[in-house]
Amino acid sequence: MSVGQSPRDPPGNYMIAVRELTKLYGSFKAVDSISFDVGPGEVLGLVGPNGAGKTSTLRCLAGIMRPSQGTVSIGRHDIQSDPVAAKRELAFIPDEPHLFDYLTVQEHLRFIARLYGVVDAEQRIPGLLAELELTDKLETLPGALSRGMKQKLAIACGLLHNPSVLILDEPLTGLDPAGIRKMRQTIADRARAGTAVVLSSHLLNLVEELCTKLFILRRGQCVEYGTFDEILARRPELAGRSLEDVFLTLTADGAQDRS
Amino acid sequence: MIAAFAYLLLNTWRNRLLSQLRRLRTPRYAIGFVLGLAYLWLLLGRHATTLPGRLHAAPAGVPASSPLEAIAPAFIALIVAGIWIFGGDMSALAFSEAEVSMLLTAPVPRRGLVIYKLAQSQIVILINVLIWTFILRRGISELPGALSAIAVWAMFTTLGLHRIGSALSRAARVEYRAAGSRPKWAAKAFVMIVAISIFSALIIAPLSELQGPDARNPFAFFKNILQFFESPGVKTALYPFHLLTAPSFARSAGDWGVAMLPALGIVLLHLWWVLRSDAAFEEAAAMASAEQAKRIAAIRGRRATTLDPEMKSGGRTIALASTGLPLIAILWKNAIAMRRTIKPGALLRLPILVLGGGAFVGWKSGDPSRVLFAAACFMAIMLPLIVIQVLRNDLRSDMMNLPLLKTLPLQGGDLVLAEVASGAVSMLVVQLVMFAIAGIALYTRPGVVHAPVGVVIGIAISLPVTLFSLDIAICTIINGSAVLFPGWIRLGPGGAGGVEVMGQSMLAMVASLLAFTLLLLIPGGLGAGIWFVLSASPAIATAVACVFGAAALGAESYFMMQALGHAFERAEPQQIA
Repeated sequence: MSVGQSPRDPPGNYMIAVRELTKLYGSFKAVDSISFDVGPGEVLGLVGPNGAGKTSTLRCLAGIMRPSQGTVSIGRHDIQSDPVAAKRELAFIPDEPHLFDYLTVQEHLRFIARLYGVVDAEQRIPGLLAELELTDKLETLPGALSRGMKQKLAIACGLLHNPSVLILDEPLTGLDPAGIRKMRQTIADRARAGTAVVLSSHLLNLVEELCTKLFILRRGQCVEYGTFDEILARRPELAGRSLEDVFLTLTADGAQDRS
Repeated sequence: MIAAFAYLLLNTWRNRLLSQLRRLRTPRYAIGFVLGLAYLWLLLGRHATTLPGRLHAAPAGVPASSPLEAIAPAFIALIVAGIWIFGGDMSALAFSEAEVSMLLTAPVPRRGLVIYKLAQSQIVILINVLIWTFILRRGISELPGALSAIAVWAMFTTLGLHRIGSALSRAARVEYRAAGSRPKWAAKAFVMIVAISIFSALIIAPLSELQGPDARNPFAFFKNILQFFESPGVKTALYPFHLLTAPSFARSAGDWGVAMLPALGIVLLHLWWVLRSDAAFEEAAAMASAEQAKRIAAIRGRRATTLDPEMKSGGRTIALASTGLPLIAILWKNAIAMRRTIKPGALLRLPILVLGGGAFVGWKSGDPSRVLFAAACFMAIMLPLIVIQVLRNDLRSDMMNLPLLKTLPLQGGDLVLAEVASGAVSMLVVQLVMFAIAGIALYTRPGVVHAPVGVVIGIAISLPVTLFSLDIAICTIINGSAVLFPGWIRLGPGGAGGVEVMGQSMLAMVASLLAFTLLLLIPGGLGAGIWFVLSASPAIATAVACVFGAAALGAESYFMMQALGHAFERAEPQQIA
């Protein structure tokens, strides 16, 4: 992983560049001035305890919520000043799949194809459906799909336009073991193909397996940011311990934030 | 148990009220609240304070009943008939997901759960009692507010209990069928035949005496209709419903007291019926609740929209190219939604009723074409207002999917434009069909003087353009309310509740119409000016004025949509919750 550039620097060649991002809900600071970058092919693991500000961060990255302060660039497009161009580059897959009740599996994909102008949609859709085991559900409405199938459809919608930025919020929720394995493979394959990925998950083994660097949040603030080795180098007292131990130590009450 | 339920209900509503009050910190909601209060005061409160609430008997010469009083029992009868004929409304039994997991699994007897549902429905009823009491005090009732409120409460509570009772009966039928019991069809059919025979015998005689409209005095026809409702046979047939409405129209405290006794008796009878019901309440409630969770809002049996919960596959689709204007995808999505959620039978019920009624009245008056023309024109104006309330294939549904919509690569203004166009196109189609029926009725009328070709062409051009601009303006206002006030507007499919929640919908509709009137000021002025300049040739003046007025209205709507687009881009998911 390359961390030659500090997140304080300009976005440069990063696909995702977050600078001093702050999100307020009234007077409550859910995200407090965080900065990070994700380059092509990198997978950033966004981890933290419940209420740490992960989902707020991801929603700001995806353009669902407006940052109270700071900037978010996706593929060098500012998500606030140039949202359409930024959103063309990204796919956001939330933990709870949002689908239209009255569109079938196939119609969801056609809808997305039109919105993103996917020229080769006819060729891509069958492959994607096969990859996610949805081929026999083409004409099915979301109401008749299981939780896992809905999640797969949301993933298919996210991957159809071949995004260069993939934002995943607990992507394995509801998937069966085969689905989990396939999804892990898909994320790894996408990253190898040059997609910048941000992955938020409580499954630390998944984070350890896929992520090239970590961003640990606690109460909206950055506790640690960097590769696992870099974090251990900064925290020698944690050397030799598992990611789970590192995570629990760093996010425990009284743990010191990274200055 | 009762204390726990009371605690739950009171705290739920207190917290809901507090969260609504907290919204007022947002300037947009604060302005909306002040404007809303001013609107309510102008519309209702001003009159309520000037009415003295006199208590006196009807003076000599004043008709025994107002038109509303004469028709109200028939209206209630129609609602009750609708509940039974079209299967009632299972949403009356629906619990939220939290209630299902905590109340249905708790050691609470069935009767406790029913009492909880009744208490829960009372809060909505009380809000609407307040609204209707103000409406009734606008010259309709002279009773003091408290007496009017109790009368309206008794009526709405009965209707609410009737909805729950019918839903329980329906659940019981499902349970008996599941248990293999055979319904007593012969006995039921016999009772129904006897009831329909008595009802028909009482109605048919006065119906045959109903005179058709008279061209010289069109008001005489409405007087005839009122006389029909006041004829002894009809009054007898509608007597149970009259007992319910009578207290609301009482002229003195004494009359009110006398009328309230049977009305309260009906409330108690309904309460007894609901509490004694042996239906599988928990199963029915769990089933209704599961469907509610699926549909976000409660299932609305036999209502005009909402996806059938049993529907698993989409059926036929509409083709969509993967390249081209992205906002077409939104129109396409909404067209598919309309196709899958619309129940043609439910939507066609009203036009069939009005056009059928028009044909009957026309047959009575000897001039069916004229009456059919009037009925079709009336429907062309009224039906779109109903269609737009029922279909909701726009941001009122899509705001529920805000997180998904906000990740789409579309400008907010373009998205609002597509959502507005979805509703406006539906309204335009309905209007054009109705005007086509009106045109055919007019042209087939014997002895009608046919208009010159130029006038027909002028109408053919200016009518759709004008209608579409009006529809766009109405849809912009309706979508605007969903974007600007998502915390106040009912999002998702149409709401459940029946007539007892109609007060809120009525207020919202009148507020929208007021906004629409304001929006019409400039285009109306422009159109009037053009017509005045070109008035030497009225046909050309009308066509040009309509087209320019429509263009001005379209421009106003467009700017509004762009402004709403900016508001949409600033909207956040927690505002919807």
